[in-house]
Amino acid sequence: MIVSRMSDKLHRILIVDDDVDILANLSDILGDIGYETVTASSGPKALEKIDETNVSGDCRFDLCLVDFKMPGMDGVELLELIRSKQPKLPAIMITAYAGDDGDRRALAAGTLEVMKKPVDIKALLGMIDEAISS
Amino acid sequence: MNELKDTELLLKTLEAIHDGAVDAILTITEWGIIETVNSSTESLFGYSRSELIGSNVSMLMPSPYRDEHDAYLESYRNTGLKRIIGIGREVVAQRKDGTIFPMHLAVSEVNVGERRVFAGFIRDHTDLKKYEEQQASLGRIIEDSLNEVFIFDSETLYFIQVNRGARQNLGYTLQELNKLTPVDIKPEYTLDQFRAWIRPLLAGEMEKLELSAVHVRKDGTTYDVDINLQVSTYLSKPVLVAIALDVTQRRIAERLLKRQQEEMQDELKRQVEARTAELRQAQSELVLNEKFSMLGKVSGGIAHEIRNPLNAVKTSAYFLLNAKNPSPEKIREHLERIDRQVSIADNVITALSDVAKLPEAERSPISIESLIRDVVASANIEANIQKVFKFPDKLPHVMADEHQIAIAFRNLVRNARDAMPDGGTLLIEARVEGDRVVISVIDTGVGISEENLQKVMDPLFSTKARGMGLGLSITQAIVEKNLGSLEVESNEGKGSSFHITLKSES
Repeated sequence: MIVSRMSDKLHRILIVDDDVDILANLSDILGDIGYETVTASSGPKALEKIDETNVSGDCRFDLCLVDFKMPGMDGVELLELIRSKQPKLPAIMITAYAGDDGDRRALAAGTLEVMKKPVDIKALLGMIDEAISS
Repeated sequence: MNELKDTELLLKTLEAIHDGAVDAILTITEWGIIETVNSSTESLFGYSRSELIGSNVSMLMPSPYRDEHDAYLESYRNTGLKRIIGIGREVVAQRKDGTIFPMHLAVSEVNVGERRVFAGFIRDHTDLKKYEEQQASLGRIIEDSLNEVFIFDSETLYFIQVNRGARQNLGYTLQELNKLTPVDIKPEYTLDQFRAWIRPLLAGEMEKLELSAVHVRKDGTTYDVDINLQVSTYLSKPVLVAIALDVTQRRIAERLLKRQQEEMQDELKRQVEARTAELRQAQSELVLNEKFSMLGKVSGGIAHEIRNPLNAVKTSAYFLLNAKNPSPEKIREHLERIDRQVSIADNVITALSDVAKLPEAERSPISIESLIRDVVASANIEANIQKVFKFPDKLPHVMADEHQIAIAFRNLVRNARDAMPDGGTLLIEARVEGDRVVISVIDTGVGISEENLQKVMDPLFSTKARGMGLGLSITQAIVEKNLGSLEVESNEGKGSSFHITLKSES
């Protein structure tokens, strides 16, 4: 079942993960149901993408999906930096870890939700839809 | 003629003896009047001959004997009962100056013609008396001594004299002890042993023997003694004198002290053991905690490493199931991704089993250069990393398990690759060192901090976002199984060098 989109407006989602397969999959799934996706394989690269949108002024991101554990800058550190650029950008953290510590840090950094891998896609899509329409 | 001469000679001789005698000799009448004295009588009593002769002999006696003497004589004259005559006894006398002294008096009754006279032989006993008193005191001191004094015959060993302290402690009378020898109260000795022991003393080789022994009382109870043994003479006989000190109390105190010391030592030992046990307990708890912590790390690592490929598989599966009109290429791309991610998950599990049970190395001569070139070729090294190989000509083959050593190098090459996300140079070089070949994998990457350098070989240690931290520990285990060694050096920010040394084919 494909989640239907309520709005016709093209929404842009930034996907950050150091695993290129995950980037490709999420991009394919979200693209297939009508989102515009931008992928970044690291925190610094994600910040570059955000800066690009700020320079052009338009086509700002409506949501970001961030992997928790990445080499160098991790997901929480990235979110904290994103907050300084785009304070209201909704974020969803995806993590393979079962620990609570990462969750607390992620929620403290303004994450809407922390989702565990392997991700329940339907739940993820529902959450994305809710976050973007509100 | 001759007879007369003989009588004259006898008289002269007697006169000489009489006057030259050391003893005082005097004669009195039946009524006590002095008739003759010799020179010793004068010098002993301080009276001159003229003062003495004709006087009553009682003048030489102190009161009350002086007043009673006439009565003694009268009594003898009447009864004939001899109280001193022919016997001799110790009496006291008084000098002209009034001093009184002990003397031995022997009286004989002599008939001179019709008359009866008494001859007195007097020997001054002042010195003897003194000596006897000293002896008596000494004897009393010894007798009363709390030390036990034993005098026994040096030949028969029978006790001759035993003081009161010893008799009381032993419970024997002197009469009983006279029939006993030291061995009877020292049952730990045989007569032969005891004789052997005192021999050096009797031979004059030693002045004194010392001994700690146990004495047995008449009632069978025992006490500890310290004994000093010496040779002496007693009544002109060679004897042995033993002075024994009852040290039962001291021994008891010593034993008590020893027991207290032992108890203290035991207590100390017990405390040390208890503390050691506590430490062991704490240590095993630590080890257990360590194991739990390790288990936690392992499960966390496994969870992460398995969930990532599972996530990829699941998302691809979702796309394949739900995508609207996916192109055949897209479908193939996702199927291939699923296949690849399943392999990744499988590799994680293989790595775990590799750690759990690394198979024995099957070493054979291999060309390390071609093996490393293959490893590097399959390591997905990005173009921004320059690959440099420096292998000498005619590099000897090394003895190693080809499959295992490939894993070891793949881990090093992957680490080098991951250390240079922004590019750099991967240098792999080999050199011969004696009967060994050293292969170095050198990167110009981020390097390893001094702190982490100690830990890089530890299982589950990782600074990477991906990976369980098993690579280097597996590499090290493999190298060791292949009788080689692994060394690492690093400059943080400049790069790291890993050196594997392996034996050459001989």
